[in-house]
Amino acid sequence: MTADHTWLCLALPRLALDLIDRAQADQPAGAPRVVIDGPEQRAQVHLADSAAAAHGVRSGQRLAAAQALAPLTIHRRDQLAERQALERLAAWAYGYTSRVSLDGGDALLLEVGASAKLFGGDAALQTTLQADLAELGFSALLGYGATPAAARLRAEVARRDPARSGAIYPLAPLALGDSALDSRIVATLQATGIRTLGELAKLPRSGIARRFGQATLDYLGRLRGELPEALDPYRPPDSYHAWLELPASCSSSEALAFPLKRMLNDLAAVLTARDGGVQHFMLRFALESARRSSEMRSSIGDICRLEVGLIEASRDPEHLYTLTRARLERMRFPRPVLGIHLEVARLPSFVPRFQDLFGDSSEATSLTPLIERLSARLGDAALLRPLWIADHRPEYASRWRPHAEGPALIRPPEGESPGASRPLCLLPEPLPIDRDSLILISSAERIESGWWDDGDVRRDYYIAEIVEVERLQRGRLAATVSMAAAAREPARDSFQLTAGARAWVYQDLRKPECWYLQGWFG
Amino acid sequence: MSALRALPDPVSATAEGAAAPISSTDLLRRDDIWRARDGGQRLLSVQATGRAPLDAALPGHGWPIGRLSEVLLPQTGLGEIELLLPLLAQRTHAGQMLVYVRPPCPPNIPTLARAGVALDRLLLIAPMSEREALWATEQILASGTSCSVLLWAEQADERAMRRLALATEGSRSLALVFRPLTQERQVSPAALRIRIDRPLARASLGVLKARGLNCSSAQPLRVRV
Repeated sequence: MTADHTWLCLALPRLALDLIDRAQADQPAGAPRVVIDGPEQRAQVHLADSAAAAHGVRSGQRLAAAQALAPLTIHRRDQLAERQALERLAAWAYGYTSRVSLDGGDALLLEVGASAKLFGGDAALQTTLQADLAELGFSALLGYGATPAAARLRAEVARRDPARSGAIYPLAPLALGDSALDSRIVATLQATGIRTLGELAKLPRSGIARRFGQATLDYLGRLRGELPEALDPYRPPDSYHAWLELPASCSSSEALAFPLKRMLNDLAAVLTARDGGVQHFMLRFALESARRSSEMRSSIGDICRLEVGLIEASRDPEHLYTLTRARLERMRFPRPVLGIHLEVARLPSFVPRFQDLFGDSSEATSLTPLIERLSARLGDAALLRPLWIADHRPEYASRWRPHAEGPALIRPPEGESPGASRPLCLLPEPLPIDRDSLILISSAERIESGWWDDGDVRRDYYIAEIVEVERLQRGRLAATVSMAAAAREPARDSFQLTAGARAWVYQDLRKPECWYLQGWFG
Repeated sequence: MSALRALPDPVSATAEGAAAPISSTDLLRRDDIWRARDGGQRLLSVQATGRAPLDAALPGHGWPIGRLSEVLLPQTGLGEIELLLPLLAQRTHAGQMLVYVRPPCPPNIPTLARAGVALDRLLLIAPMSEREALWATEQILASGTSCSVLLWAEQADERAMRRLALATEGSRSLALVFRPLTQERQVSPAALRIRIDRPLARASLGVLKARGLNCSSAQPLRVRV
């Protein structure tokens, strides 16, 4: 490739089939497949795979005719998905060059001259691009050119002859049929004995404009670079959406692993290109409708949502996948999943984790992935941080909030008497107990507070020694932990209070016959 | 300093490569070899509990770090947390997390604060089941962070305990499992096993197993804290 071939056209002739293959792990062997287009009654073959092509199935054929040639697996074309795939590829290409534009239905135009040096030369850049495309699951044909039109032309030639993909050769001998000229003009030119672009270019300009129209002259000008071409530049969006339709509906989370990995790889590629990261994303699983419809594909019944949040922005696909899988394992789909939608509402800038030269990372940084892993599997409500608020009511002062809502919050009360004895374990809710199961061993400490809100209390607190476990447990001590996440678990018989243990109890002064256990001195 | 320690030592690397004979004194300096004669005091990684009678009794004069320890209890509320509270508080000030995994009752935050625990290093994990609690504990211990993990496990079998012991090994974590007394018969991979029968304020605890100490379930070493 010479230095002046700075434009690259990436053509994706198999786009519709690539999109189907990307959703499944193993390529189905042998069975001829086609992607069809057009209205239900007059469906046409949009794209045939190599097996179908071997049977003589061609693009543009009527479906009925194609079906007569071979038993076909039929997929319906999804133009929206194709458009989205192209936009994702544009976002990926944006990582290699700042000048990207979507070109037609299945091609991208990239200005690579300026970035080739950065990526280690033209050959290295081409290898990298092709490796990336293979990784993303797309087969592309490459056409280089000094101008966008020339690049597009070489890509067009490569569609007919894939061996010429990425090659540089003179344009003059190319047949007019390969060019983007109107087919009627091509026919007229051929009738006058002009068969190649070189022959056309040799004609006097004024004659071309008069006899074959200004458009023909302009095309030649754009091909040579004499006329500038206005391209619609691609601008990366601030959010990310991707929809993947599964080739076969599946209900197990294992079967979803492969398509999910693909989607997260796509996302990671876009994030890398933008030098961004993701901190929160939402997966929506479209479920099959309960009512079976007579249509070719079942309709979407409802949506299962899965939110994944990270503490620090990340763009490592493995990490994103690990977190997603841990959450996915706990999900149950009532009906088979038809497709997956991935949404990232915000794309924050990525700040790489600081690492010490000697790998001696500080405690806080190594803790973050651990906490993410734990909350992914256990749920956000299971990781709790202390919340200490200045309040005389013990159950208000000592509280817990999910780690995801923020770090420990400490607002210690001022001027608290340091002598007051407080238990080491505190029940989130006081338990009613039998007064006779205790011996009070301290004097009363009165706590009167909360008249300003709903939690008005008047209590006398005592330290008590438990003398009779049987009576104490009549107050169903088994339900000791009634914390958010553990509320549903059965009684834990092994860790109960024992005779001789010191408990922290109070008498409700508004109902003096009522005694409560609030905690104990563990 | 720790960064330098992580660098490969050229001397030992060549010695290994050439499979040179290892002298017995070198061998005895290894962390995982102990001699009953010196009570294992020299080499064990320990941290003082701040309770003088207990420290005096334990091998190495401290609580084992990087090895699993186990406290067996008939029921809760015997002063089992208070026993280690000075050590746990000290560790939070060194920046190490204090993690409660599935306690029977959440700790009272003001009391912990008064005992000197740095509250920003405190984490409470309340998973739905004991299986998840064991998983979470293993993850924490194996993560390479140095934490103090307190786990309450009722049904953990020998295999589960062995997994925890493996995860603890080589870490700088304090790993303590509270288990019901009914599981005393179970073979345990813990480096230290302690049994508490009655409130520590009035009774002594029994050391059932500790490397380098001559004690057993039948003849526990009684320590009055």
